[in-house]
Amino acid sequence: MNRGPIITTVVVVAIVCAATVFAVSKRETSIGIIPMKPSQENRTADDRLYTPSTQSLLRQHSWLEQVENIDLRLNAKDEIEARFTVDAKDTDFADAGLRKLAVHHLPSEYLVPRLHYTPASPPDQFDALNLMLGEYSRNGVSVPRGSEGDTMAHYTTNQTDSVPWKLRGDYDFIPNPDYCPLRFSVINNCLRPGLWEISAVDRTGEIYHSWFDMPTNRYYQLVGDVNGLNPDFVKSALEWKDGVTFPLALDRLRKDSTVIGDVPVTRINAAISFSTQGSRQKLHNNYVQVETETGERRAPAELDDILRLPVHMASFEEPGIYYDDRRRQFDFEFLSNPLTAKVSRVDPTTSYRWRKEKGRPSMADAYDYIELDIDLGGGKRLVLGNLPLELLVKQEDFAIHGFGVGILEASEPAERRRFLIDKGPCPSFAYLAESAKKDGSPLAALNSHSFGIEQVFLRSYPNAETPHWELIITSFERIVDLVKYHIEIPESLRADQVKHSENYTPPVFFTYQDNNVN
Amino acid sequence: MSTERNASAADEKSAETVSRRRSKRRRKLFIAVPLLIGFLCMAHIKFTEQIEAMSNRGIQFGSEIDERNTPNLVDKKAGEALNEEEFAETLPVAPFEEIDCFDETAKDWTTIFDGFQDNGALIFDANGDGLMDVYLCANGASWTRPTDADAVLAQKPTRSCNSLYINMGNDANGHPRFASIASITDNPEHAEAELLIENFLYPRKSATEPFDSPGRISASAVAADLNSDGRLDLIVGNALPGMLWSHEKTQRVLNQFVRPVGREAVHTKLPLRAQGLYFLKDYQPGDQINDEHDTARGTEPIGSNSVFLNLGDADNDGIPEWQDITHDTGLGGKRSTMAIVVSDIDLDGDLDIFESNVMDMDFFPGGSTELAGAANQLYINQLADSGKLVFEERASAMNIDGVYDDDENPMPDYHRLYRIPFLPKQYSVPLFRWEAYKPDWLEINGETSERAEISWASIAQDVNGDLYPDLWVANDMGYLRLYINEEGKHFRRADDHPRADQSGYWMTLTAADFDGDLNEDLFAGNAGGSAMNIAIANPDPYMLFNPVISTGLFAQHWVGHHSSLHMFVDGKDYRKPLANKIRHSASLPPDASLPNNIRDFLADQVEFDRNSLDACEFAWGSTAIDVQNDSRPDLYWVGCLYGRGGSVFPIMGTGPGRLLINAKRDDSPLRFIDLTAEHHVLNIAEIKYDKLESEGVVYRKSPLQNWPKRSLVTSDDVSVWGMQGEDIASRVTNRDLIQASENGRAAIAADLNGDGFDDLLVRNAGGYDSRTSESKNLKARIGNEVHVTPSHDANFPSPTNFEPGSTRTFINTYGQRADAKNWIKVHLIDDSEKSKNRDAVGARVVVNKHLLQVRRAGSGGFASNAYGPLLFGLGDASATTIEVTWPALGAPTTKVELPGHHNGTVTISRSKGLESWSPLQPEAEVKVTDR
Repeated sequence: MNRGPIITTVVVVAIVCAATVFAVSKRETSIGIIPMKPSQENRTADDRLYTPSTQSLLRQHSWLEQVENIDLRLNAKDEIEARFTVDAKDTDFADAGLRKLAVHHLPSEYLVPRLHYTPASPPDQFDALNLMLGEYSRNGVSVPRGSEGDTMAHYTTNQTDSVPWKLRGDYDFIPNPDYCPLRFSVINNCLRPGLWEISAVDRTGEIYHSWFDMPTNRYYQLVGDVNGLNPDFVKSALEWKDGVTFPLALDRLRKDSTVIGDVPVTRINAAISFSTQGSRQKLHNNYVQVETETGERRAPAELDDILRLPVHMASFEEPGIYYDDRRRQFDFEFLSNPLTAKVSRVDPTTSYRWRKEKGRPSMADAYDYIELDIDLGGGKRLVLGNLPLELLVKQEDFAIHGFGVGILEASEPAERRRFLIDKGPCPSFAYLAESAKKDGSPLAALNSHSFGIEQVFLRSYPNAETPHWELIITSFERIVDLVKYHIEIPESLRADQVKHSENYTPPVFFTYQDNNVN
Repeated sequence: MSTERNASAADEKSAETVSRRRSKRRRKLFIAVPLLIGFLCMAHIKFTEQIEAMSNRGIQFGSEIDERNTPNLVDKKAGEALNEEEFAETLPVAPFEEIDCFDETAKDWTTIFDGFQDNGALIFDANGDGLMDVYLCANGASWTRPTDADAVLAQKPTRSCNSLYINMGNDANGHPRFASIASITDNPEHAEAELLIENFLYPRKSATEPFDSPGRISASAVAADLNSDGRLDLIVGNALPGMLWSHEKTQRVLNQFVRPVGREAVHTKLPLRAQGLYFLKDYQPGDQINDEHDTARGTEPIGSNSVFLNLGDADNDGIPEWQDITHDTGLGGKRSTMAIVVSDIDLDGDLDIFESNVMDMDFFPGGSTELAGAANQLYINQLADSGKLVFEERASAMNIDGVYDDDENPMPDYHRLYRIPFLPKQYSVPLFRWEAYKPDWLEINGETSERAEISWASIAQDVNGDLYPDLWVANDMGYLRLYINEEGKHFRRADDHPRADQSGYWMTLTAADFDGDLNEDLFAGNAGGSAMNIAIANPDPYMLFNPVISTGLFAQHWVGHHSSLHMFVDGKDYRKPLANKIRHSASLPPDASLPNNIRDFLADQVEFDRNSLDACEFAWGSTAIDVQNDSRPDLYWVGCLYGRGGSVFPIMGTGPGRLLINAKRDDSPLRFIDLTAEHHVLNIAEIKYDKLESEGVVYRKSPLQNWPKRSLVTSDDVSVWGMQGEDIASRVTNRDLIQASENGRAAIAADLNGDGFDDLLVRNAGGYDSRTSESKNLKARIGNEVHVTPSHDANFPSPTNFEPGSTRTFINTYGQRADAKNWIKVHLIDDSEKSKNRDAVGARVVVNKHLLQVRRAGSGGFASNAYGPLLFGLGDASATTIEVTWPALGAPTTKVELPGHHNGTVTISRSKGLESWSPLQPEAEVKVTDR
């Protein structure tokens, strides 16, 4: 029997199938060719960019400045594929030629507001609140240079220069426009839905920063897809709402809450400080000032200054830039007199993989979780929940990056975010709330952004004379630490907390970074 | 016909059959060959993938990697517990007090890229007033530019020079006061002779002359009375102006990020290039050993050392005058001299000189596949024979030059992975077979390195009791050497000491009778236990077929050819290591003392006890010190390969300094307790100790640059500073505070304030890597604008304002306690007729029949020397007997009986025995001296 035709047919079919699979796997959906708006920052009197980020000598010299549009697409896995191309002109320091850079495999779900729990059906105001809190929290992911075979988010470029400058003479530097960034970031800006940013850095600072508008309908669709919500609901939820309260449906985020007890909370005065490296410039460059009794404005010297005096912070406005001459005023006195904290054990129902994990989150068993309901006095409460006890240790801070549920870090390596999403604990939550009225009505959540508070850091001191948690609240745009509380650790948790510190190794979702430098 | 037809048909059929068969065979071949090729290709690809996976995971090295689904829930391993009963009780701690007693000249104005050769310290009594003066070495040809208050680079480099600080007596707090000779010389007639030891190429004639002329690059200095006139002369080891990692052949090779998640591992050399190459436009690396330049001494080799004869203090201003006798004595040399040992090598009564050398730093071979080194030199003094202070260089003739030859000093084997010929290299990886080879010698720009070892430190020690000083030489990326002195005529390499067959990165040596058995032991400092930290990436096996030297050596941990751990050599038998245990710091233990951090899969190849010296970090300068004067010598060292953490190799090369307090009981083996933090001698800037007792932590404001966390860092804080995949990253912990350590180089103990308790002097290297809480990003002027300057290499942290290296002085306060222990200082004079070794260098002194010390010129610690009377801690006892074994053949031992002296200086002469006893004057304890 002549098997030739059969073999040929089989081979052809196989090739067609493979090609189809390949084509499908490579399918990309265009989001748009979107104009880029580089270097929009305000300038100081001496013509410097007014920005808290360190600006490298390469800033405004990179070939990226010439990029007019970003070619933004989603691949078959809903990962962002972004291309930047320019036919660069000849300059004193670089030859003309085509320069290309492309971001690959950056999951779009990393960059949009996420609920991290199953919403009500139909979604309600609480769900809308959480989307809004997420939207108005900055959310950036950076990627290193990679290669074709990488499945982890990365960028590729046809440029190869690894030294940021050339020399004209001893210590006489000329910026090298063709330098390859150490990391390249895509950022969902916190000021308006659809306002996004691109940033590139060398080892020291920014070499490029640009803004673009994600088509809003496409954006609402994307947020809806990630959260399983209707885009119309998303659109409505993401609208900025100020001066209103929201029902606080904590039972959606955890169950089986068991009260351990009420513990005292003491406010601690200390020298002014910052909790993350990214805030140091803001603090040292007067992004925060207090107004003294005589009307003079100066940098705060200690935390008490922040609470007792009006605080003026550099305004952060569209398109995501700071204004030195426009200041937002805040009154943080409501943080001055904490009373007690109710400590409860809880069983979380939040998950970074909430749409993939049906039922109880897999990480619910991996840690023990507590909730702190802090009475700030004056009718306000700070509720911090789903806090993994094993990560409340003396060795480092446990950070809540924003108010809402599982708010993601403002700027994070893609590697670390992947670990967080894949293997992180049940997401924690934080709310500024108005306490229930005496009639026992439920807590009402506030838009914390309006109050100028943004992050919470917790560290355990289980071996102290009075074992306690140290809680630090940081301000609007993470500019400065606002207040420090000592919360006594309940007796029944102390032994465990000692053990947690003894056993602690920093988890990879806190530490892992691979710049893949070569 | 029919038959024919039939036959023909049969033939045709047969031919057809054959043809069909052939055709079928061809078809089969047509299918089989591609299939076979395809199969082989698939097999190759699969095999390659397997090897890739293995190399990424480190499986070929036998590592035990756990797959874990739940991060950060790694079980903490429990380490072996210490037997606390074996540790003696130590005195309640009296912390050292840090004082600021030197001027700007005492700071180091170089960077790590200048090599490791600019920070020597010498403590000695230069002017014979009984107070210890301080001589600090400097790089007189630094290319680094300082920065202003805003971290903007200056227009020209800071000039620096060696400086002698005269001890001006104590202040009201009992702290010594020092004044540089430049600040106090005021006699025009003698100024030039007094300033001579600043070591400029053309000495200043007065202190008012500008400071901007070039000087020599001084690495180390020792004092000794070379001409036996009772005054201490000065020998300065100078170095060549090279730059680390300045040539593509030598660029430092970083360990790859291994086991990356979701990325292809990088299998290429990751070079770290010298910062200076990107600051200086036309820097050309090269070997300058044979190059010369013009100086006030005439034309001489660039690397020539300096020898200054002490002429006394003719104008009685407290500053000795000096005479440059470098050329007259023949002691100049031409290499980079890191250590100088002065000893009567041939026991002829005069002092000979052994210098340990390294290559031009442009040739530093860590990142090279080829080796480099420099010959050591032995200068035999002719004074005793001829009456003239001239020296004859005899290192090669006496087999002590460290140059490899074919007979007595054969080059050792280095090892690389065996590669199967012709096959792709991945096929050789699973074999994991090592082959011996001898690396070539590095050639750069037409110049080839000397075929010698890299000798950072050396010390004279009579290991076999024949009075002839034997020599230990600490060689980097090579071997610790012991040379047995054969009657002053020849040296024999002893290949039977405990590490003779294991390569290492030896850098410092300190001798003391640590176990109190009247045999002087030896601490030999290496890269340290950090190399056992699992967070340090395994070298890529693909790089081990032709490895760069440092990586190749490191990899040989797996086969036992190498050990990076420190060692004590037992003085009783130099062929044995001295077993020890350490109770590590409770507040800031070495990372490698934590069981989870250990590369336990190396246990079969490298003996490692985390509760011992094995776990301690990198060592440059080391010194013996009896902190409490309790009669038990303690040990202190500092050292960072790349300090001021967050730099390259943060885990492997960074150490905060360790003060190991000797807690040996009379009836137990050697035991130490790490009380560095308790004594306030961590080599970390801005560190605060006030919460140590109450909360068990030390802390400081966080460095403002290159620091990922909040504005305060405590000794509890941990991170992962290594670059590894998920599995290891979720297992290890690195203490953040260790990463704030300064770049320690020299460390030396001496009694600076004359209270009978040794103080500590530490020198650090500088750089564009400030870790202060006020550090700023480095900035440069481009046109009229000031811009932040990023790092020249993304593997290197962000450069900062230039932070000069500090010279730190820690004053011992045990003497201020009401129950302070007793002490005695022993001053020796060899006044025998033929001796030209007046200070009896090499003499062995035993107090109360159980306390041993040896008189030395050349202390052994990296670039760290002190020369004064021997200080013995007596505990609660007083000195009743002193026995001196003089460094002279046939000389009788001098035995002196004392009526129970303590807290003073006894002078013993060879001719008279007890010459004098000078008790510490009560007023001298808090002396205020004004000149």
